[in-house]
This record gives sequence, structure tokens and C-alpha cells, in this order.
Amino acid sequence: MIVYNCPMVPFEFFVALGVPFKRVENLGCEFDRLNPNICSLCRRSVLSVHSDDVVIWIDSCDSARRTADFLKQTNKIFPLHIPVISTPEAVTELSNDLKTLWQFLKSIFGEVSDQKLSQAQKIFEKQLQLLEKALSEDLSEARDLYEKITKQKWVGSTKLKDKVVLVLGAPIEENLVQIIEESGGSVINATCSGAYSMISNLSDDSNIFRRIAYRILNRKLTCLRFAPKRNLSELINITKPTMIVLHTIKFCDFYNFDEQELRKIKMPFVVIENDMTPQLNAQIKTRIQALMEFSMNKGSGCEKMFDLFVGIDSGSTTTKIAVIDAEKRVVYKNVVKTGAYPAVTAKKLYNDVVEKFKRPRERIYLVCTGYGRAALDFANEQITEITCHARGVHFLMPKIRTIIDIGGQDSKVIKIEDGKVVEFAMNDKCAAGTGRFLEVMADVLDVPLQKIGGLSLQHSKEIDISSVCTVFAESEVVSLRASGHKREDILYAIHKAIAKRIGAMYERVKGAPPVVLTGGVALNEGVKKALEKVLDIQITIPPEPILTGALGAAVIGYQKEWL
Amino acid sequence: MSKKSVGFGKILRKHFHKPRVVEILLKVGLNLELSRRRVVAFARNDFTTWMDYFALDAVCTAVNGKKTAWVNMFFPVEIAFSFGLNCVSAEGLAGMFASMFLEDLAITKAEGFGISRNLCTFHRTGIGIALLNILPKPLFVGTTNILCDGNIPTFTTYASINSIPIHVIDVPREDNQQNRAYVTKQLENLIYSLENQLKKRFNYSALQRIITEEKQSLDIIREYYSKLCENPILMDLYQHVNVLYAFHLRPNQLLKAARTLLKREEHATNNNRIRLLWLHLVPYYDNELYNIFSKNSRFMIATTEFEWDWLYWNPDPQRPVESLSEKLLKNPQIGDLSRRADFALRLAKDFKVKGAIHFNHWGCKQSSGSVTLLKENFEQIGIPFLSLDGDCVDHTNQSAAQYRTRIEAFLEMIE
Repeated sequence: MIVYNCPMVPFEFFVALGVPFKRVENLGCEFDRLNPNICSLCRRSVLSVHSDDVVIWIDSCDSARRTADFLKQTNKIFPLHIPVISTPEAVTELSNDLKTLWQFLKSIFGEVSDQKLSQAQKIFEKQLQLLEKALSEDLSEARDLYEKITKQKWVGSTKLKDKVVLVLGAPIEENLVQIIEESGGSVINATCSGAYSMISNLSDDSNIFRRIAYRILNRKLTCLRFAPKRNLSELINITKPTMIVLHTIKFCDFYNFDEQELRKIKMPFVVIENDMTPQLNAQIKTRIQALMEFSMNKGSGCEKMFDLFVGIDSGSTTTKIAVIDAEKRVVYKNVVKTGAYPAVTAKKLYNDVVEKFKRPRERIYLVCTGYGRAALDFANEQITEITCHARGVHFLMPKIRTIIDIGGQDSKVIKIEDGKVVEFAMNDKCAAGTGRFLEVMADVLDVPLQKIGGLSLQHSKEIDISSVCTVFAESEVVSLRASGHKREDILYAIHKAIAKRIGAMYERVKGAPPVVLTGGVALNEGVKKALEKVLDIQITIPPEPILTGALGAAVIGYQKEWL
Repeated sequence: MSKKSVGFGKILRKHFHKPRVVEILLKVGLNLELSRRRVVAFARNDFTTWMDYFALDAVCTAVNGKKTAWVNMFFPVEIAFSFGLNCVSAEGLAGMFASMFLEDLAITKAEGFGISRNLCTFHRTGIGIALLNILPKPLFVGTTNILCDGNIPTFTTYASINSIPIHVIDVPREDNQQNRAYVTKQLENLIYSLENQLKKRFNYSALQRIITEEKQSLDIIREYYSKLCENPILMDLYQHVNVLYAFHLRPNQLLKAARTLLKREEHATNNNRIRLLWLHLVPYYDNELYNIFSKNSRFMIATTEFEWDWLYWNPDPQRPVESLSEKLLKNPQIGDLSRRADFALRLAKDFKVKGAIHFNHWGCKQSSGSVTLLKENFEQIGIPFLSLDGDCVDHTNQSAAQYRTRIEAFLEMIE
């Protein structure tokens, strides 16, 4: 069996040899001898190589190159360097390396005539042309062709619905397609291993190796590690997506460079960073759903069926409920601890409302949001907290353009226009910049969480905590405490550190005033002041900053009915 | 790279909302320091003081902004020099920011631009610096794919921010005739496109002269190599950064430093210290490691691998372009791990070190990806090996306490 790692390999050879081949795959566990800062995909897929496999390994990315160091110890391997340029010299260089590879393969699998290679090459080119055509005409046929050419499973939709999501970046797996399809979209996979990555300009060179080299170096959508520019505009013109997902993999840091191009194109997009663990699905889902909600319709204008609109925000620390009536007045609100069973807590809050207002359940429209929203199956609708915060804040303060929401386990910066989300950034899988960071620090300094903000404002000396990482910062705080610094000064430094982290996200979405701060951490005056200093802006806190998500959820229900 | 730089950084930080003020302050501050280093170099006339001077001279080039070329550390700078360009490595600029504790400003800027937090901080900071608009615009941007794959998108971004073309040299992983011809052809193309871009004829004899000077210097240092192995130069940790930086960015100036070796006194005062080999780069900002490996320490970093990556290259001024292609291909860092490991083991044996420290710079996959195998190679010949995680540029991504505990435990182990 031949195993390869990247679709830049010369498939023509494999076909001519008549040897079975496959691409490496994610088996779900990691190869821990590779350093943890190697891309998650390499760390996971290398384990699918068996010791008797013959490995053809494209070594143009550093993660793959270092992975090859290990494979060399166990396997027959040919590391193939693909030039990062596509000049005629590069074609010659690659064609020479391909000749060597062809000899290497023949020495293992037996002699094959050049005529057979020539036939395989012609058929392959034909198949590529058919694939290119099928991609715009018949996706089921494209799937069959792609799977035949690459021996890799097609990942993407085969039928396109209204919301067409173009996925760019690093390879995706079925879970992402499922999340997008369940959220009402369909997927065009233009990642570096999707069908679009195969499409190339072809040459009419009479030398077969030069022809293959030309094909590999002249793909229409080049890999970002290469010098020729990626032509995203042409891809978007052909595929005509509604929105774009830029999929990156932890420690595969290239595709973020596409972000600037996407901003120019001015199409809704979201960047997700995947570490290939199932645990990340919830975070990915929130981002995808929020993207889908960018184009959410406000109302249907149909018959009025509801007279009470309830929003529940099931957060990591607290569960919030807000109720508005048909006159758009806030008639009830409440906040309780989430506890161990989010669904039970939310259900109880909801039952209280039903009882209090004595309305039949079918007259109440319930929208749930927050991390626990998926478990609240008694809701009419589940909407991400990103959209809900935007609507809630817009309801209270229509002029606000940027929301900074700092919750217990995550933080977001949301840019809005007329109540609609236009861009957002979320912290990744890390406690830096969240309420949890403050909790840990309050604990180390033995100060009740509620008091840290106030105390930080009583600082007399400016000191800095350099680390934003919670673990490093904790050890810095311990040393600062040991060296006799005042608690107030250390707390001030902690608040500056969190503000700096949030500041980076604010920059990322190109935040603009007026700015509002929401979420549990908004109650901390120290964070507000530190943010104002770092961002050099005035920040407003809504009357009940914890409730904006729940309120927004209720507003969404109301708007569906009345607008 | 000291408390002084940090102090200067504090002053600069207050003015970042006015890029022109920062530009002027940087220019004044760095040129003053450069003059000081120059005086010290002339006065002491020893290897490290000259190298300290050359390293800063390269950075000042970018700040002063006369015909600047932004290149990566493994770019054939000799070609740019022969066109009268002044080369600065973007890694060095990131290092300069780090030495002043200002890298966070650049990193935040780059992240705001959409750059991933996983990307190496040399690159992230470099992009941030380009975006901060505090340095004069370069005339030329060029990179090779050595050592890492992050160079190409990063330098493409520099070029695009400055609206100038990018020049990329693709260096294959093995040194053979086919690859030499390929790289030579690319260097010829580079010369051709530089002629067009700068509207200036290429001066072949200027390139020959540069390589002749480089050969003279490297020959002296090569000749002296065995003596250095017996009696390594005692330096502060940050000076190793200056040395490797001067080797790569100022090959045309090395002669002054090389000649000092000829008159170096052969006293063996350093021989009581326990020697270590440093692999990969050293943090550029003032940090706990500088204290641990200060000149008063019982331990000394005998050398680092990037100070010697030219060792297998013999410059040939008669065929300058081909010779530069050989320089790129003979670098032991470009191939698979075994090439790098063979070279690192040679340095360890030659310098008679008792241990090796590999600094895993955050986001640098090429150096630390298969570090476990490198460790095995060292341990097979009985040299203890510490794989130390950290960040060369972002001082917020490290912990002094962690550095100290890990290093001290390692040193206790080998003592």
C-alpha cells in the first residue's frame, strides 16, 4: 500500500503502478513524540501509517517535514519537496525529483513501462477536467470522481441549499459539514484537500514528468505556503457562496493570512480554529450558527400567535431569564446559579414564568441561548449568545456599535450595525481574558471576587504582569506577592493584563465606539477602567449587563412576531 | 538587550500614537547606542564587541532607512549588498522590539490584522512592526524557505504592506548538482529582477569583492575553530544572538572581528566552567536565562548552532553566484533531522560540552517538531539534553520561575 499525506502527490504514478493507495487519516489519537506545537492534523494522522506502507510524503510544510523524521525510522519513505515557486526552473526541478521518485517506486513495486505511465497520465488529466466540470454542474458526480482520483472520502455537501458556505483553509472532517448542514447551510469544500485543490492548469509538454510537475505547481487554488498568490476572488466568482468559513487547524497557522483578502471581498465570514478534538464541536457550532444568523430574517409578518416572549441565557456560571410582552416592555427578569444540571435550572426558571403570568404555553415564545442552549429542547428556537447580545444591547441602547462581553468561560467582541452582527471575535480554548482568569487570581490573592475590581482602583503603583496565560500569570502573581507588592497594585496589574487580551480582539474586529461592556465581568469596575485605558475609549455598562443575552433572546422572539 | 533597552522601550511606548515621533526617537536612540558600541569595539578590539556592533548596525540600517532590504536571516545578502542595498533581517527587527519589551504592541497589531496566535512570534512581531508604520519603507523584500515555512506568507505580507514585489528563493533539502544548478538559476533570476526593479546594473566585481572578503574572514575563523573549541569565548547569553546575527547579516564586515582571533591570548580561565551547547535561538529580551548564564556563572554556553552553519561552505569568489547557491545548500539546517543532528553532535563533541539545551521557540515547528529524536541522539553519546519551551520574542509567553526551575534541575543533574 502507498500512503500519502497531501494531494500534491503525483497520483499518475500510483495509477500506473496499479498499487492500492490511500491518504493518511485522523484516527482520533495523537502521536505524542511529535512536539505538541506541531499541527494537530499531523500529530493525529501519522498514526494511520503502518510500518509496511510505502510513504510518499510532501515535506513542504514544517509539520510534515518533522513528521517525516519519525517515518524515516520505520518506513520506506520518499520525502518530496514541492518548490514554493512555479517558474519554469521550478517545473524542471520538480520533474527531476519526480523521475527519481518514479525510479524509487519501480524499485519497490516492479518495472512498469513508460507507455503505461503515459496512459495513466492521460486518463488522469481527463478525469481532472471532468472533475472541474462536475464541480459546477453535478456534485454527486464530482464526489465519485474525487473519491476515485484521490482514494479519499469526499467531505462536503452534494446538494446545495440556499445558504452556501464556502469552506477555505486546512482540511476539514465530516463533523464540520454536519454542523453547517444542521445549521441550515451546505458546504463547498475548498480547503487544501478538498476537490478544488485538485484543479490545475495543464501543460502540453511532451515530457511526461514535466507535465506532471507543471500540473502540481499550477493549481488554481495554491497552498498558502507557496509564493504565487491565491486567487480567492475567482473561486468566489465560480462558487458564489453566501458566506465563508475560514477553517484553521491548531498550529497550522497559514490560512489566517487569507483573512485580509476576505475582508476586501466583504462577504460574511468566520475564522475557526480546530484542534481536531470532539470537545471543540460546541465552540465551532456557536461560531457557525452565529455566522448563519448574520442573515437571519427579522420577522415573518404572519398571524400573531404569541403574547409573551421569553429569553433564557444558559451560561457557564449563571442562568438568566428575561420576559417581554406584546408591547415590548420588559416584564420579568431573574438570574440564578446554573449548577450541575443546566437544563433543569432553565426549565425551573421557565416554569416559574409560566406560572407567574398564567399564560398557556402555546402563547409563549421561548428562545434559548448560551452554552447550555442545545440541551434546552423545550425552546422554540436556539440562537447563539453572539446574536442575542447584539439584539439585547441594540434593544437597550440602539447607538452602540461594539459589544465587549466577558463571561465566566469565554469572552467576545461583537461589532454591530443596526442591531445586526457584522463581525465578532471569541477567545480560543484558553482562560486568558475571561472571568475564570479573574477568579483564579482572586483566589491566589485571597480576595472575594466581588471586591477585586474596587481594590484594583486603589492602586498606588504601576506594576505589570507580563503573562496573559493564566498558569504563567498565576506564578507571576505568587512571586509578586512574595516580593512584598501591595495587593491593590497586583490586582491593578491583573486587570490591565485582561484588558490587553480583550484589546487584541477589539483590534481584530476593528471595534468602534460607542462601546458597551456586558457579561458577569462587567460588574467589575476595575475591568471597565482598565479597558478604557487600554483602548482609549469610553465604555458604557448597561443597567443589568448580565441580562443582555437573555433579553436579546426574548427580543428575537418578539421581532419574529412583530416586525 | 539589557535593562537599558527596556528603559528606552518605556519611553518609546508613551509615543506610539505618534509614529513619526517613535521613528525619530528610535533613530536617535539606536544611533547613539551604535556609536557607543563602535567606540567600545575599537577600544577593546575583541571578537564579541565587534559582533555586538555589527548586529546593531544591521538593525540601524532599517531604522535609518537608506536603501533598506528586508530579508530573512538565511537570504543571500551578498547579492543585495552588491546592488548597494542595506540588509536587515525581519527577525532582527522583531528581536529589537523584544529587547525593549515593546513586542506586545506589534503582536497586538498583527493579531488585529488577523494573524494567528500560533504563528511564530518573530513573524507576528515583524508583521506588526510593518503595520505600525514607524520605520522607513524598504526598497526590497526577499526571503528563502530556510529555515521555515512561515517565511513566505510573512514576507509576502511585508511586501504587500509596502506595495513592493517579493523575491523568493526556493532551497531544496539536499545538496547535489541538480539542486545547485536550480538555486544558481534562481539567484541569477533574482539579480535580473533586481536590475529591473532598482533600474541599476548588476556589479559582478562588487559581488566578487564581497565574497572575497567573506572568504578571508571565514577562513581565519575556520582556522581558529579548533582553538575556539579548546577555549571558547566567554559571552553573555544575548551576545550569542549578536554573533549569529552578524554572521548572517554582515558577512562583508566580519574581517575586523575575525582578525581579533589571531591575537587572542590563550589563557584557559574558562576551562573551569561547565560547558553547554545551545540549540536553536536564544530569547532576545532580558530574562531569567541571561541571569542563569551570566559571565559570573559556573556554567557557560560554549557555542550555539547558528554561529557555525556556514562551516561546510568554502566561498569561491571566482564563481560567486554558484558559490552562494552552495552556501544555501550546505547549511546543515535545511534537510532532514539527521543532517542537523550530525552537525549538532559534532559541535557538542568538538566543544567538549557536558550538556545541550534546545530552546523550543513558540510556534517554531521546524526546530522543535522532532526534538525528541534529537534528544535521543545526544543521549546515545552520553550528553544530557534539555528541551526547554519558551518564546524568543514575546516576553509575556514565558515564566521566569519555570525557566529557573527547569534549568537548575538540569544543571544539578549534569554537575
